[in-house]
Amino acid sequence: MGILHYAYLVISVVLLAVTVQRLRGRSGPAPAATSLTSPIAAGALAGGLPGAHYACLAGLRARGLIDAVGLTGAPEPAGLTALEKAVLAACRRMDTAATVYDPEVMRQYDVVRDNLVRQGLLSGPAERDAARTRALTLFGWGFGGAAFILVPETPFWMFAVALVCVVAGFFALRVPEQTPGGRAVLNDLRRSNRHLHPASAPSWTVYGYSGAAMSAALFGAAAIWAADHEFADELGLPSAKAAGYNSGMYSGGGCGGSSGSACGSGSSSCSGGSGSSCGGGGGGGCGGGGG
Amino acid sequence: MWRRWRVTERLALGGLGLGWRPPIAGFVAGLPGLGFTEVIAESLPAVLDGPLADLRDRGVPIVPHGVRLSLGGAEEVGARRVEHLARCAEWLRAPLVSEHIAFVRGGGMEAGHLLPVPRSREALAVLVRNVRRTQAALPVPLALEPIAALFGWPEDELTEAEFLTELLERTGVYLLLDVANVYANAVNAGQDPLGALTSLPLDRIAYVHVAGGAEHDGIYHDTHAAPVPSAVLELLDAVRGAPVLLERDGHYPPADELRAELDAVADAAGLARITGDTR
Repeated sequence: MGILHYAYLVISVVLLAVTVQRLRGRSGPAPAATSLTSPIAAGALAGGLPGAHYACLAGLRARGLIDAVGLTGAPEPAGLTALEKAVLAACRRMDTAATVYDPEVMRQYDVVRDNLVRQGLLSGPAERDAARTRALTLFGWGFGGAAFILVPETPFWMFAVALVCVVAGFFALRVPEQTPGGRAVLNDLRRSNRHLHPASAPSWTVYGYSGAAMSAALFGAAAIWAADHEFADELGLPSAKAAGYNSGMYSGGGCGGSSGSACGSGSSSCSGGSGSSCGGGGGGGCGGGGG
Repeated sequence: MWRRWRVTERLALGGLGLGWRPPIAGFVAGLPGLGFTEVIAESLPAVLDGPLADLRDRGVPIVPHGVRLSLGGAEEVGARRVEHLARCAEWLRAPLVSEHIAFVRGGGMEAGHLLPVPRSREALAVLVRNVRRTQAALPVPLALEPIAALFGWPEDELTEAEFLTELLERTGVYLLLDVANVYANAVNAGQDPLGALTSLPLDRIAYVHVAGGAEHDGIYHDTHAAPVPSAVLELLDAVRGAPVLLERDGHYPPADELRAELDAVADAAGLARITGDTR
């Protein structure tokens, strides 16, 4: 066991420390005051361009401005964001679902994204490149160290250290877009907006366009499927499962699958529904009573 | 009136509430003066978390409202269903639980509806037996709600008031009075809704339901999916001061309309507004 072995160990520890420290401190926790109220920014944070686009579509749909093929002809209200305006403008030229590829929509998304980077909620390209460089360095260092196994009398611990560097470097290569602060803000948003989770089939009528947009921002295409199945189907949105928005949110799944629907016009009331006291039976004619 | 107050004070229930439904859970939670709420017991998840748990932890009384016990059924009330209702009461730290005077199954068939119980002596005895069994397993008092029915049974021997009064006296349960059901039954039978209401044992009221409905082919349906008609609101004057819960189960209106409806109910029932609008 020579000095080279110890030198390798020390350098490995330093490289590991730097990589981990940079990973944690790349953006650091967001300032406590950081909170997002804009559904579009929340969508960009949660799901990038598709997330921001879902938020736009849900908000514009809830305002009655768009359908799956484009504009409905309803007058454009004041107070739309630049991205929403870009989506509306794109709807004049293409199907609603395709507006995500419109250059102006992408440009406006970049503005939203840049703001999030400035707030420390998303990592910028330079940061990501630097992080990847550090990860590659660690990975290469580990790989090189592992080659020492070919050298007689190399202690086993050195091989183990090299392996740790390889594995850590490999995982550090995948640089998440969200910073730790961004993830914290997003978790807070999802917690405080649990009522907008698709499992609850939130009423867009009650929560209005901002609630609809926030629901889609935080929970993706699944939110649009839950609130406006026909619209989601016509848009060809990915299913809730495929959208990957199912984890880590309100799981009160037993709560009233049928509750979004009205009691129905035929029956006074029924017992079959799980989410309402007047139930899910709906069909009249049996003379059922009302709860 | 004084007896009614005594009942509601003992049950720690008061003010105006709105039925908790997942699609409007955030709206319900955001009502600054929410007196209490009610959740469909059969829809409660195995583990209570999320917005409903938040409400409970805020100290808002939550009443589990059963819809599938089938207390009026000829078969013995299901022990597991009663246990679930009891668990709901414990999870929610509920001051009471409520169910319907109805049956929903028979001979292994699920009706999918709340069906009216024949108002006969025999049916009353069966109902009393099932209610007592349920009470024995519940950690809190039980309130029962007479339903709206589109038909009656030929073997009816008692009026609704007589049937209800005897049921309440023999079991000690409280009354969950749905003024919209009273209105629907009376209107569909060509009777005076207020007369029908005042004939009931109002001194046993735990709380009151109110809901909207719609007329279809000459029959009024208690749909819970429309605004409360003024004629139903007017009935609240007869139970002024009692805790009232607005039921809304679909076709939800914009938040402002729902708030206005809650204010109208509060005003009609002589209760404080819960929307933060003090006008």
